[in-house]
Formats: sequence, C-alpha cells, structure tokens
Amino acid sequence: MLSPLLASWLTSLRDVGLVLLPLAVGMTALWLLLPQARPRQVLISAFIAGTAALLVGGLVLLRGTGPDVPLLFDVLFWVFALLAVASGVAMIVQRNPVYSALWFAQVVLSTCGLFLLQAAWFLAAATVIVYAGAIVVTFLFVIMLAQQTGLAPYDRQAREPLLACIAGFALLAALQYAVSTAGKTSPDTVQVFAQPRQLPKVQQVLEEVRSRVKAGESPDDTGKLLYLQAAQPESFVGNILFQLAETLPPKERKQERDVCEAANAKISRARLTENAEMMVEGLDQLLALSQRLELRFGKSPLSRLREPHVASLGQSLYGDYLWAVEIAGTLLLVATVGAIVIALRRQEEAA
Amino acid sequence: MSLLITFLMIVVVMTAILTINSYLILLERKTAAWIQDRVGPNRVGFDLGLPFLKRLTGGFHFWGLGQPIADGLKFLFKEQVVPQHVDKVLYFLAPCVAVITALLAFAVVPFGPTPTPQNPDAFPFVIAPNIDIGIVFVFAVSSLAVYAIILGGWASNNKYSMIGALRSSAQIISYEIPLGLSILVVAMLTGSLNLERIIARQATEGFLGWNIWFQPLAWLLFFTAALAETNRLPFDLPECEQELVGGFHTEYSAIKFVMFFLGEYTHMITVSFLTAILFFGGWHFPFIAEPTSSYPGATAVKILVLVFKAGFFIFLIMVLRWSLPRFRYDQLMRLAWVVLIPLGLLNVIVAMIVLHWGLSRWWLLPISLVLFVGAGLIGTVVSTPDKRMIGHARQA
Repeated sequence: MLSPLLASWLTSLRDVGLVLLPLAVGMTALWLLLPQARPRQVLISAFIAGTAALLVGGLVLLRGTGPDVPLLFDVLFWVFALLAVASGVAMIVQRNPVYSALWFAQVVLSTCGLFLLQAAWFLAAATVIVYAGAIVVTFLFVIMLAQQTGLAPYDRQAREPLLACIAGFALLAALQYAVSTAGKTSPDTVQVFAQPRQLPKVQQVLEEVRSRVKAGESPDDTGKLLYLQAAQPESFVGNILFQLAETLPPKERKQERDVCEAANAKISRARLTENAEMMVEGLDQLLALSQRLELRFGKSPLSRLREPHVASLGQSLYGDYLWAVEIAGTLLLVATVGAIVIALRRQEEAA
Repeated sequence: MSLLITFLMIVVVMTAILTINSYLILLERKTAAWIQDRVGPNRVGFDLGLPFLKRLTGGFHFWGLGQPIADGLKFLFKEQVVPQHVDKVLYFLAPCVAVITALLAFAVVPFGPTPTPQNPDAFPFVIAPNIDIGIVFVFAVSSLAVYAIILGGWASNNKYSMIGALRSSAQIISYEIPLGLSILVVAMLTGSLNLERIIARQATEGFLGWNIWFQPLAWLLFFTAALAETNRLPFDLPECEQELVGGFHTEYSAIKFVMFFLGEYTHMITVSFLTAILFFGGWHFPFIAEPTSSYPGATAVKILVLVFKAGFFIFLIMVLRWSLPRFRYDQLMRLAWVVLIPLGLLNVIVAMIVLHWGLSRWWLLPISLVLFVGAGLIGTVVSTPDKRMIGHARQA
C-alpha cells in the first residue's frame, strides 16, 4: 500500500516528467544541430527532433483538446506553431548569418499567423510591419554590408552550445511547468484572466444561490457560495463577469461594467444587512448580464475574427493607457535624437 | 459555402491580374511609343507568328494584341541561365517573394461594389471582406516586398545587383513613412481603416464627399510615395540602367526576370486601385453608380467605374515614366525626409485640429493647398547642400 502522500508525489512526478521529456529530447536535438567543431549528424538529430515533435503531439492527444474549435483552426494552429519552432531552431543552427536573419523573419511571420488565429489582426499586422518589414531588413542590410568574404569564426562555431541549450531548457521547463499546472488544478479555478467558458458554471452558481435565498436561507451564508474558489476575491462570480465585460467593445463595455458594479454593490450590501429581497435583485441582474455575455462570447472563434477591434484597441491605448503610451513615445523620440547626435559626432571625428 | 466563394474569387482575381499584367506591358510599350512618336508593337497577331496558326487567322495582325502572349511564351521557353556564383536557394526565392507579396496585398482591396449603409447586404467584391485592419494589411504585406529586391540583389553576388538592392531597401523603408502618414488622414476622416467603409462613406456623401476634395495634399503624398514603393520612374533607382546595368535583377533572365516584373505590375495595379478607393470614391460615380442605383446591370457598371478609375491611374503612372527624369539618389532621400515626411506630419496635425474641434471638413482643402504652396516656396528659398555644391562649382 502506498501512502496517499507518496501516491500524489508520484503522480506529480509523472506529470512533470511528461512535460519535461519532450523538452529534454528537443534540447538534445538542438545541441547536436548547433554548429560545432565536429561534423554535424543531421540525420540523427533530425530523427531526435522528430521524436520530440511526436512526444509533444502524443502529450496533446493525452491531455485532450480545449474548447470546440473548427478543424481548420486546429490545423492552422499546428502548422503555424510547428513552423515557428522549426524556424527558430533553423535560425540558431544556421552558419550563414543572412539565412539566420531570414529564418528570424519566418519565425515572426509564423507567430503572426498565431496572432491572427487569436483574432489579433492589428497586432499581427503591426508585428509584420515593424519586425519582418523593418527590423529584419535592417539586419540584412548590416549583415550584407559588413560581411565581405567567408564566415567569421563566431558564425562557424557556437561558443557554448551545451550551456546555452541547458539554460534554454531550464527556462522553457519552468515556463512549461507553470503553464501546465495553472491549467490543471481544477476546472472551477479562476485563472489569471476570466474565461468565457466559465460562464455556464457562473450561471449555475448564481441560480443555486438564488433558489436557496428564495427558500429562506440567510443571504450572508449563501453569499459565500458565490466564490468559485474559497476566499479568493478574484473568483467572486461578480468579478469574473466584470472582467469579461472589460473585454467588450467600448460602447457596451461602459454600460455592462456599470451594471455589474451596481449588482455587486447590491449583493454585498444585502449580505451585510441580511436583506433577501435585495440579494435576489442583485443576483437577477448578474444572471441577466451573464446571459448577455454568453450571447456575445458564445460565437465561434471564426465569427470573433470579424468583429471590429481596432477602435477598441485605440480606445484602450489612447484612453486607458494614454500616459504610458505618451511616455514611451517620448522616450523613443529622445533615444532617436540621441542616436542621431552620436552618429553625427562620430562622422565629424572621422572627418 | 463561403469558403467555396472565396476560393472561386481568388482564382478569378488572380487569373484576371495575371492576364491584365501581360496586357499592361503591351500598354506600357504602346504608351512609350506614342510619347516618343513611334508606332510600337503592332505586328504579332493571335497566330503568334507560327505558320500553322497563320492559316487559321488568315495572317491578320490584330493590331499587335498577340504580343503579350508571344512574349510570355518566349519567356517561358527561354533557357534557364543560372550563374555559377549565385546563392542558389535565395536566388530562386527572391522572384517568388516578389510575386507572392504583390498578389497577397490585393486580398483586401475591393474591385467592385461593396456594402453601404443603404444596402448592407450587398455582395462584397473583395477576396477577404470586412477585414477591420484593411489598409494596414496591405502595408504589412507590401513591407515584405523589399525582401524580393534585397535577396535578389544579395544572392546574385554581383556588385551592381548589391548596390541596387541597398538603394532599394533604403528607398522603400523611407517612403513607407509618408505613405502611412497620407493614409492616416483618410482613416481619420472615415473613422476606420477598412477599405469597404472608406468607400461607403464617400459613396454615401456623393461626389462632394470624395476624399480628394478634402485631402489633395494627402493624395499627392500617397501617389508620390506609392510610385517610389513600386520602384517606378522617376524613382526606379534600384534598377537604374545607366549606372547599375539592370540593378537588382541584372543576373536574372527568362521566367525569373518576368516574375520580378509581375510583382512590379501587380503593385502598380494595387496602388492604382488604392488611389481610386482612398481618394476618388471607389466605385461611386455621380448619377450612374450611386449606392442607391439599382437598375439592371448596376453592379457591372460599378465594377467598370472602379476599373476605369484604376486604369486611369495606371495610365498616369506610365505617362509619368516617360515625362519625368530619374531622381539622383541623394535627391530621392531628401525628397522623402525633408519634404514628404514633414508635409505629411503637418497635414495630419491639421486634420487632427479640424476633426477635434468639429470644424467643417472643407477647411482642409485651402489648408492643404497652402501647405503645398508653402512647401514649394520654402524649397525655392532654402539652400540645399545640392545647390551649395553647384554654387561652389560656379565659383571655382
């Protein structure tokens, strides 16, 4: 007989192992592929990299997929994700810096494909313009001008391939572990951000509390049930609805936020004063709000792609975060002026 | 179902663009001939000069309309010359990038009637309808077009190609800024980046609602910058024959060379359509193509109106090629950084002021003209390094 503690330890060990195994295999492949003094075993490392990819695929199948999305979305996601990772590997194992820069552009483009799948059109376009269109082109510019004949020693051979691989592995493993445990603790947990898929659960809780209050139970006691997770202020269903309302386009956002705030205030006052009538009123408002939100978010990801979002983005950047944007802009301007001044002074010294 | 329609639309539009491209080359040669007082190509009919086809057509020359087909076939069957010293992968990748980016940019550009508030359910004649970022997508894709030139130049492993590519990338990156500034004003006037909405606003407000009335300066900036982006004369320094043999495509021949030109001509088509859409009301034309007009064949008329408007700008670009001499490289960069960008910024600020205080948009017309004339006057007074050099030369 295993003690329950040991059993739970073993389970978590297995989970961690499952997450880390593909990473470790991938790291080995990357280490073999990095340009080093000895000749590269491309076939062997490609085989190991393929194994890592298969392991990841198996892990995903084991976990099961997320919410229902059209098959095309899944396929596109995998295509873009694989392309991004493969191009990233190709970028660092390339000996020729021009090719490295091009693979970097490919990484940027694939990542933009992933942004598009998340309906972040503007982010994708801006990233393409800034990174693929300007920064990588400048890299190419410099590489082509600076590199005349042959490859420099730092291009021919990686400096600390093993250490670099291990450092990258440690970083990725920590990230991967954090992400995988965050998604798994319990289906009721509120993550960092509220999710539309929590709406059915939220409605279920609201209805249960409402029927209990109507049946004569104390509003204060039943009010404790309104937390999806005990004693977590952000798991209060009113907070979840509020966070979801935050993601609406500006016009609706203002209105729904006000509705939510009023209802939340009403519920807390009802709990303090043990006023069943007021409690039911607040619960009804939240229920109606959650139904409206469900209508908004219940659409397929495809239809979300169509929603105008540049206006909301602008509202957010130049409304909510006006000062941050202005300060960042001023800093960049000062940096640009500084760069020009330094460049001019060097020219004068040279002359 | 909508997937099928999109697929069909892509096939139709791509085929149309490729066909139109080949005939644009004929138009370009004819225009050149007219301007230079020649006849131009008028011999090759649909028999393509082949004896067994000649019997079918009776030897009629069809005013040279067979020329593009003959040219295309010639390019296809030419020997593939790949120089020894090139970087093979990138050498072949570059012309592909040129064509792909040029064609991809057309995805959000409407080529016919689009929905308006009067009939929101109209069929949108655009490959990817209702894209909220609209014009920014065109920007994003065409900012990738510079890869074709820079890779072509570098992979050729030839100093002329390299210089052409370096000139070009600096040129394209610089002229993206005035291009963006000019479009920004149009987006501000409409309150959207979506090209269908930009047309819808102009069409709803009628002939006097066309953006050209409020933003002649933005149009000028846009058109100038777009010419530079497409590497057309007077900004075709990347392939400037007198200095660089052929510039970035010196080492390219046969179909690979044609692909670069397909890219350039497709860019030209896109730019012309964008000019018509952003500043000249898109498919709207008083009386014959109003948003409310619903006579039989109205859709076809609207498509024709837009195509004619775009065709006019294509023709204008071709005539400009034979009317203006090429800029020198420093003049080109100075035009972008010293003239176009400050003008564009001032224009944006003026538009912001007008929109913020809710003044009539008609204020923008005189202010635009004042800015333009002012820039011209300053240009005549301020001494540029260029003039100083000429002055030194005179003194010496």
